[in-house]
Amino acid sequence: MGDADSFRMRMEGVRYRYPRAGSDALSGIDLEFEQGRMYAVLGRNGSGKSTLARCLNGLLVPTVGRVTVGGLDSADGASGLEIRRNVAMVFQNPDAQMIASSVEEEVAFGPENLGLEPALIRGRVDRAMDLVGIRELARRQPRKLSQGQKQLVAVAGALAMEPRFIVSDESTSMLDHDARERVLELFGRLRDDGLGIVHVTHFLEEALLADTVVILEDGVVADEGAPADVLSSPDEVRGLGLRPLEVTVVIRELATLGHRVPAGVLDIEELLSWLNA
Amino acid sequence: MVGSDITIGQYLSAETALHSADPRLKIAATVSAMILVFTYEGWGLVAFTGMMLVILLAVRLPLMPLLKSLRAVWVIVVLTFLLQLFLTPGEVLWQWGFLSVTDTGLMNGVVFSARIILLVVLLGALTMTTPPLKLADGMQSLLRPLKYLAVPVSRVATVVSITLMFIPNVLEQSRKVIRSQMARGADFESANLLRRVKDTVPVLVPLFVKVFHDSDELAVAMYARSYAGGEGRTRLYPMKAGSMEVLFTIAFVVACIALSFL
Repeated sequence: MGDADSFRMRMEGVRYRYPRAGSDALSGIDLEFEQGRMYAVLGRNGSGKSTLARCLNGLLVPTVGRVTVGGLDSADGASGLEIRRNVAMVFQNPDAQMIASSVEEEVAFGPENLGLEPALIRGRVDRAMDLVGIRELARRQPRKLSQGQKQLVAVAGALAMEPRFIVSDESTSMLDHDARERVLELFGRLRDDGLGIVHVTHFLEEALLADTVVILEDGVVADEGAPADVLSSPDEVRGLGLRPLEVTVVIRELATLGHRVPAGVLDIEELLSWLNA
Repeated sequence: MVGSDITIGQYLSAETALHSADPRLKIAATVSAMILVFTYEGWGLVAFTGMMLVILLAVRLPLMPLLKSLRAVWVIVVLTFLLQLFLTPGEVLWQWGFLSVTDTGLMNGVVFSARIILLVVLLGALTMTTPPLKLADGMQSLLRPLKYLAVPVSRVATVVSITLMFIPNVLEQSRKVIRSQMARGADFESANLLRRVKDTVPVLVPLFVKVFHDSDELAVAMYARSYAGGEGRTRLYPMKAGSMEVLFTIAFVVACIALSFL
């Protein structure tokens, strides 16, 4: 999984039940997330994906078990600020995250809450906007941007916290195709730069970018592994309440016709190359 | 459509001297003027209205959104005028049956209505030129002494600023709910007032649910970005009042006080 000193988030025997709920949203989760890797968390509606994301950021504290971020226990109130500094979140609806009247002030909101000096805030804001590629929007009003641009502003706001991880809670689900591509490309670039990414989604195509895929089913981990291992069987994927990748359905049909496509092909371009060869 | 022209409480992005002014000074000047407006009679009101007009024109603040914000209170203005007009005793100028207009009633009607209009214009000028977060910063700074009385100043300031920020959100949501209710046959344009009121009730429940949901999402997003009540927050652009701004504010408040003696 990587070197022993890298920054990690751990969930150990995590159960979470919302107040007045009849059952657990998470029922005994054991997972480990390592900085510098990208994780995709999949699952049907109500499977516990968002609850898991919120536990990682310390927004929710497990009812049973524990979540540690860089060794800090999220149940320890004194660690809350440090955990949220290290694990930034990007939410589904960009409109619900905007609070400032200009993009740069929106990006600055997190560092301002950390009590940094203005010069340091300026540096973080500029770096985050450059990384995301939204410097030209600095003076614009966030509410007047497109949904895709708003979500990039939200990612910049998260990056300005200079976190170790970004947890994206279905941050692409309200975006059009192009905007989704831009956000995912950005996540890939951030992972390559050494950030940990936990991307909660119900689009299987987005999970192909991840190093590890986690599938949740009724609050438990139903499957976990590399995308090629977890997503290649359309029947298993469908059994978990998800729509399988079309390419895997085609491969299964090809198999019934006697064609043996090499294992691990999840991409249509890859399949076409194999067919042409 | 409901609320489409209500601009009260909304920030309007522009580059005027009022926009760049220190929020603490703007709040102090606005609150002083709002209090003093209640002391103005006759010529004091006329002079104050003139002074406000000169200032707003000088800083080139768009007047149309300010005037639009009056639509939110026109019912109150008209009611105030009519109640003062017909219910104040004095020398009768005109009488029809039990209704009589007196000289004092006419004067009071004009004065009280003008005061309400000026209050809305003052508040509108403040919120139009000050983003909600800056407004919260200014309030927090001015109310700081109340901390010694255990008042959660930063939280109060944040609540006020977010409330203002949510006004356009609530209006937008109400428009969406109304459109969807109209698609199902609700009648918001009928001449029958009773029917319109009846059809408005189903709008309120989904509207409240959505607004509570949105405010909860915003609170979670703020908390996730380490917001903890505003204590110890620093700023990308710290508040800094220029000497000219301070002098102008003092001159404005002094002028407002002087007008109360007219």
